[in-house]
Amino acid sequence: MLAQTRLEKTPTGGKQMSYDERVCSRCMGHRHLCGISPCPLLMRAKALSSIDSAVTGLDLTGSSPPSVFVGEQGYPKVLAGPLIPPVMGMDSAIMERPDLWLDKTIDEILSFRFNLVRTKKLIPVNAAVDPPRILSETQTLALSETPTSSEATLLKRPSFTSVFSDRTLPTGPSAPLQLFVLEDNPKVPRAVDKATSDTDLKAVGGIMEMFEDGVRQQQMTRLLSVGLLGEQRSRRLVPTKWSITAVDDIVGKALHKRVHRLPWINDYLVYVDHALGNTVALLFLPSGWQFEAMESWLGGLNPPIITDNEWSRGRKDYARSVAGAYYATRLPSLEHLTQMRRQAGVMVFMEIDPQKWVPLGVWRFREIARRALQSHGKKFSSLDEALEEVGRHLRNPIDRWLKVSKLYREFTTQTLITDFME
Amino acid sequence: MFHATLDSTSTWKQIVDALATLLTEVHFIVSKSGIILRQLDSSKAAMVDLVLPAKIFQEYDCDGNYDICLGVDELNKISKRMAGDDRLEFRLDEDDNRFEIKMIGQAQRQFKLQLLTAPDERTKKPSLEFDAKAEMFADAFKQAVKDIGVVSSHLRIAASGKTLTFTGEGDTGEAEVSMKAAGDESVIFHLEVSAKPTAMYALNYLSEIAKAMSTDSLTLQFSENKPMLLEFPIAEIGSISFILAPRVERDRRST
Repeated sequence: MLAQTRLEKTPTGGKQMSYDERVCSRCMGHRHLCGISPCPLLMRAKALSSIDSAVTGLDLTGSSPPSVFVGEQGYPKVLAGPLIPPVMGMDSAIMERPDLWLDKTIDEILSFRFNLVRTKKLIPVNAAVDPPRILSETQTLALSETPTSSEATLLKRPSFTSVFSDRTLPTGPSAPLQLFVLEDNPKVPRAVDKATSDTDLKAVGGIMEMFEDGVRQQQMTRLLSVGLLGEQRSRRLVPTKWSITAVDDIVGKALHKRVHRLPWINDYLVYVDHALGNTVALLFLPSGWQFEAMESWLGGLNPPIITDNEWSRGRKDYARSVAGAYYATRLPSLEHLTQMRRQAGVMVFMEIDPQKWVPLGVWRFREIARRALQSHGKKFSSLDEALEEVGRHLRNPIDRWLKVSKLYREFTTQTLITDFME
Repeated sequence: MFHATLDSTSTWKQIVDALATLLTEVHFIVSKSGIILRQLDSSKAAMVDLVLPAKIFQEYDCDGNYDICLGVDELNKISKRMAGDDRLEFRLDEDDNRFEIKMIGQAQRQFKLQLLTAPDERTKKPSLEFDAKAEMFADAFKQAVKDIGVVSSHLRIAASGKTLTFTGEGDTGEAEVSMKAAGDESVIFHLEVSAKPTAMYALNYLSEIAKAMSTDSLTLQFSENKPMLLEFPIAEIGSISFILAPRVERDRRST
């Protein structure tokens, strides 16, 4: 039996390491862009991980949360494999549950992830049509709702290489994979079994069926990523990074259709929440569906604000500026409207404090937005009052946001046909 | 009971294409005199007004007033299956709550669409008077919309004397298109102007409408900072109109 890993506290006090967020956010710990050697982020990652002492040989036994990672480099031949912690038992579930992380510290979150060994094997994406043994075991793991014990044989000892990405959850040390076998039978929810075993059902249909049945988003993303959804002939491995946004967008599009038929809200609603150095504020306007996501990295005198938006019919091209965070905040907005059985225009304001920041993935915006929307929110009868409330929670003055906002301009200048009816 | 036949699939496609630009659900009101539809889009900034007199149809039987509410996506998919020389037959199946579309050509094909629940209220028409009315080539209008769209997200129209001017401005620059209603070569056949109205409209609606236009000519009417009306003929005696609410410079909520 391997030694149990422990979550170790990062030493507090003393001189804090400083990161240049602009460099780090591009480098993500593996391009050596800042010139400081060794990379401070990687050092922090290593300090939080006890993999070195826990994994001594090339055999790795542990309960995967379950978790799977599919890389995007080299597409259509990608590095894919399960993420396995060197521990057994149900405790590993939290390592793949970002929806439970908002109240954790950044170091706690990182230590969840850095205690997972990312195994990898080069697999062509279309192998999902007729999966070889190792992929088939990985797929079976992905079906499970709860941690499943497994055994892996590695080709090399795990090492820290790339740990961060702007979109996916942080990943721990990685190692090439030789063999992977499950020791337990996976616990597969019925909806998951139905959607994945139907080889005539398109991926979009499968995801929507699972969504209706309350399957967790993390699991749908995992299933899409390992190539278990879609018509048999067109099943593919999908890089984790793409599948996250794909699921946000697919569910969002379906809800968008429903929201379109609902009556407008009557007042202005404001929802705000903060976590992990990020602030998300959502302003719901009494109008037809339209959406805008704005994001600002704090720092400097006038930090730039980037924006993407869509009008009532949704967008067809990719939201290039705000990227993953656009889709990750659009989904909770649509979910909330569907629950309220109302239609509204939604403006999302996101601020990131780089001093508290490490790249955690876009899930944080999705989960902060969801938590904000679960709160009661505040109701206002005028736009000015609502904006004042939003401004209270942001560090950039509200006028700077409104200056770049497309939706604000549209909302305040576009008249309605009903304005001209007696 | 409602039953009608139509010899031209292109007329039907033209109608469905136009409706699909702004609506996700269509609500036809069928009566003895014909079919009408009047709906706001979900943003309430635009309205579609369709009038199809019974005479457009080769056969037309209707003994009451019916609401036929259908999903646009579904209707569109069916229309795409129509062959050019098919004859169309429409029927309302009240017992099964279905709208039937039959395509009669080399084969006889029948589609049945489930009716959606009709809204409780029928949309009223805003009472509008216009200071400018232009009859023009549809293509000239389409090109003007595209030109302004290069730099701007909104289009300003001004009419004075014999000239119609479209302008737009954005972060990257300005654009202007002007047309004179004089001479045989003019793209405007007829222009009536009282006062010198100007008004601004969002291009995202106009580009969608322009894309779906399939007629040769159109009538454009507008007034100072009031809605604009674009009317297209359908099979000579029918018409489809789009009414578009203007954009205003200062905050509309403070007026």
